Amino acid sequence: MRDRHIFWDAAPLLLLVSLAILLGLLVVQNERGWAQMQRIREENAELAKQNQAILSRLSGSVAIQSAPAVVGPQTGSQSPGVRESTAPESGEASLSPKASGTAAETRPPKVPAIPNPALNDPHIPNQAQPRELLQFTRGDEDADDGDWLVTSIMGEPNSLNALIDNDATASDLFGQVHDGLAALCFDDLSIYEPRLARAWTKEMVCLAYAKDGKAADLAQAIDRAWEDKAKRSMHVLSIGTEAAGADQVVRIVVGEADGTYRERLQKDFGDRISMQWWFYVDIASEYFEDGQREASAKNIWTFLQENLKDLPGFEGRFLEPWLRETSVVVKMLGSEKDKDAVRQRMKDLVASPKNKGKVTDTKVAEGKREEALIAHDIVEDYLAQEKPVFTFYLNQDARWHDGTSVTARDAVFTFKMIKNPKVMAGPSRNYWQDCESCELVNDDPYVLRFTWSKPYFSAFEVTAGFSPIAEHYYPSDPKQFNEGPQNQSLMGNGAYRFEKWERGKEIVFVRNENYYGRKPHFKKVVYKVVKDKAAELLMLESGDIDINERLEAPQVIAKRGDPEFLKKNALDTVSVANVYRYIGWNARNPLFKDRPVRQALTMLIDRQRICDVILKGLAKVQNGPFHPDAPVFWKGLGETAKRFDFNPVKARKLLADAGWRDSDGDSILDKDGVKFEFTLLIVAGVQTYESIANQVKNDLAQAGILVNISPYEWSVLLQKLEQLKFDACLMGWRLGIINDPYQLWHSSQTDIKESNHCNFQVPEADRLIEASRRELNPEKRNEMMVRFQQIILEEQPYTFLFVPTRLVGYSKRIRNVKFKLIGSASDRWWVPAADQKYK
Amino acid sequence: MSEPARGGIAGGLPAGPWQMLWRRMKRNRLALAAFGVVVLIAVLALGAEVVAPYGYQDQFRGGEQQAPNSTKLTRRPGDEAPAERYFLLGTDANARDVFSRIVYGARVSLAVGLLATLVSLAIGLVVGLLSGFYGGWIDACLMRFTDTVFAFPSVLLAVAITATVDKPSLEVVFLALGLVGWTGIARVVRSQVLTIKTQDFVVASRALGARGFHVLVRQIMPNCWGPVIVVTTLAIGGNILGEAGLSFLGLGVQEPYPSWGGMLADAQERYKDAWWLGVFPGLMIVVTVLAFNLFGDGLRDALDPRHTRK
Repeated sequence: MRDRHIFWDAAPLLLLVSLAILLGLLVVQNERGWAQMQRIREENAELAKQNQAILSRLSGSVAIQSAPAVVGPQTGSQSPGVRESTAPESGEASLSPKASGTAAETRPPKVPAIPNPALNDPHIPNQAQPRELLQFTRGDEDADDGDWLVTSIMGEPNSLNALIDNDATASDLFGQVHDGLAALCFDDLSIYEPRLARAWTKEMVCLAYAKDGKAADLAQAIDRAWEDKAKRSMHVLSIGTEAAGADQVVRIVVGEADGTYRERLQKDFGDRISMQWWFYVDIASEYFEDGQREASAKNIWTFLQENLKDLPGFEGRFLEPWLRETSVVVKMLGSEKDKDAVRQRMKDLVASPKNKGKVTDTKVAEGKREEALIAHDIVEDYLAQEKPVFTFYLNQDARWHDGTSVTARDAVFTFKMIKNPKVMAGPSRNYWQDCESCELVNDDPYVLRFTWSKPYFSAFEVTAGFSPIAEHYYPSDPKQFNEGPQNQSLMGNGAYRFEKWERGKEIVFVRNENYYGRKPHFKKVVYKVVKDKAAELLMLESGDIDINERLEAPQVIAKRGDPEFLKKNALDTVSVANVYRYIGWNARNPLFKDRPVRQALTMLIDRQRICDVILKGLAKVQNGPFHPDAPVFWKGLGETAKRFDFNPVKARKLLADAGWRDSDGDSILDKDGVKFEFTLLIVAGVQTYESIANQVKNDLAQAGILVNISPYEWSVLLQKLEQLKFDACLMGWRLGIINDPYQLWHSSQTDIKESNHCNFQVPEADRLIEASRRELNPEKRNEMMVRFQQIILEEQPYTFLFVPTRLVGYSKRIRNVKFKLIGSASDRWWVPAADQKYK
Repeated sequence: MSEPARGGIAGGLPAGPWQMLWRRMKRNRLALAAFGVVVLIAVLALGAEVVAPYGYQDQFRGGEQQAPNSTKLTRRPGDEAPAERYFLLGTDANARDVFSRIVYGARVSLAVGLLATLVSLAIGLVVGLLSGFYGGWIDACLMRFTDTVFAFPSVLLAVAITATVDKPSLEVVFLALGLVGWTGIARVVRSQVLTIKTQDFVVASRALGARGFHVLVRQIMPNCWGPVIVVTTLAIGGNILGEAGLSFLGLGVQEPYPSWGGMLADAQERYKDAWWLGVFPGLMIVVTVLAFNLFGDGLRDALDPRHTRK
């Protein structure tokens, strides 16, 4: 009796336990999507039949352009392609340096130029540019001073030291208190305005080897041959001989280096000057197993040396292994004829049956990688030496916020920190990799000279955007520099002073009343931390913040028709933001190693729907690594890009060809016992990202690919990416418009905390990236970049998603708000005295 | 619950405790109705695949943010042609059926409610039994510890626990809620033990030489069940609410799996143009929690010995 009682007492509990466990199991199982997969499987079977029919009609040709039933329209964005703006955008890591531009915008009417005050500065020699300063109508000429600007940020950076934190917010906050040497003019992107530097000179020192040791003769000949007009148009400053090698070396100094002088020199005097060129020999990866890399490279080197040494002007060396892990680089000196001779010799080597399997042509190597031991390519050539040299004359009125002067020594310190490999400034460092020195001229603490070791097309942009940090504020020990408490605050020299950072609440800047330049109008700039999009909009409506630069598309659509909102606020939704979003496939993961698989993934995702439905037409489909309005973008790429439009049928075929099949009948693709299942990292709390991830999950599920969506808080997500611990990520990049893909796409940038986080490594792309840095002729550079983009499109290391339209809402209190691609010039914004609400 | 009771103590014997409970419950219509609702929701949760017309993450493209009770021509990825589909409670911004999501969401709510309560029960029972039975310094220690945990606001503590892991999930949520909510149970169990351990049958059993542990488990524990069941039932409601709260803050089950709290969070950005996104999950939370509370109250009334004399 008693025993029975106990049993019955326990019965409800048992029931409860089993119910709970059952429910728990069901949820967990559901979460993994098995149930849905089962259903999809049935639908797929039906669809597969239809696909079979389509495929058989197309007779298995690989180059299926599209299956008519499923392809979305190619373009269809409602947002006009006005080329403008960039401003704080959380959700993207930033490329540094951020500001730099090409001149393609319409110029506003100019007001007569004013004399440059720098001309009266005894420190500054007369040839320093600019002679006069252009003046533009700024829109704040009769502005009232006062009031605060209260804005918002979504996530806080890990630190405020923008050198080590590659985060858009960190670099914006850093920029508030730090001035660069010069700044891109907001009104005319072809002009730099003085900031910390009052004036500067740009020079490119070119050294060319004269044949037969008659350098002085050659220099004179060049000087005579080029008439003054031509010299001016090519910005030639002087022609002479190099002191250290007067008999052999001609020294030409030019101002703006765009490569025209080089072409002219080659045309007119090519037969009297030796050119130098680089010559890459790729070694197939088989050579590198068992730690044989160095030895194999040397073997090939010996082989080449034996075969090339009788050629004129031969000189060769290895580059550092980190730079070119799979190549030997041969440096040659000679004329065009010599180059042709080398090229012919290499061809002969390739053709010779004796060398089969040892040397092969680039083109052959493309298709038959496994047989190719060596591929060669001559990629860049230039005069024996071309060194850009920039001299900056610092403004002696500039002060750090603690009162000490800003000197060239601070700049030298900053340069040393960027160059120090122990400082975690990887992303900035690669822009500075070819800059060999930063030093004082004649020990003058206000004259600063940067010397670059090689030509680099945006050397001046990078140098002018250089923001020195205070030597007496930052520690010189790399570990402390990376992690010290000084990174939780800022000490700069700009128009605003850092006041406080209350974690989770706000970051406050106050106007620097001792600023050496034109003072901005707001007394304070407050960044409120608002992690919730809905709250951010409400705060704008209630006037708690004055500007919201990250509205969501549905919010904009709703507010467009809300008279109550529009009475107090304005919306700016015209300009395309200099940002693109993508899904990165980590190629370290075996799932994404194969190119056809990545191509298939892109074709499975309906990107047009993302733009039209989720972003309400306020975005454009993106197809490559550059901004769509960048000059290089669409030239001849349309057809390549079209091949990766939404096309599930073709994608499935690609997957099947790559060996992905559903062999165990669970409706998920598998290959060699591994399921096609991965985790997609997204930023938590942003509905747009969630919606996109949901669509991607649905789209990929159709092909039997299981996506687990994994939202993380911004800083955690960033850490995961930096540590390279992810399968796939839904992210964005905010771009400069320099179009230098080195940071994101060069194979040397694949380490922890570096930006090539998806491990994109293609030797040809590397070469193009390197060569394009040297190429000063914009057209030739564009050709290289078009080819580079073709490679990217073929490889699909990312699935490029879209370029969003900038969605800004701001209070009508603020006047003169304008956005352009490079930024928003908030120093011109102001509030009329009658509307001011903060004291 | 009544079935085994009747079968077990049949034939002329006086009604067993479960049978008496059932009789008393029968008189309390409200509690009975609440029980019905609980059963209904449990059925929804268990049979979601059958009950829900669509999957919880199926997108019906072309049918974004449809109002309740509407029919719309939509295309699901993989569909060859668009089809007319009926949405009882409308669709959300991702073009997913709200009704289906609510049904699947019931699974999370019930699972977390029950599992969290089980965790609480396990801890609370052990602490309460030991503390009440052994007394002395064990009692003092355990009860001060209980007081300490009790002193923290429970939701905040749960948020803190979930925030320590970098990825919230179902397991984390019910463990967090369970680790926070056991104090009430522990106190009730302790008070029960204190009264029961002085009763004659316990004394008798000790006199017969039963060891402490035997007495605790075989004599005292079974007699605690009544109040414990009441507290537990009420705790389920509380935990469902807690889960909704955590999900609302983004600390619960993660997208795309639905939970009522998470659906509410999504709805808050669109409450002006899509009221149905928030109203229905909200209603479900209210109804479910209310049902558990009313049912729990009913149980309490039925089990309370004082009520028998009324």
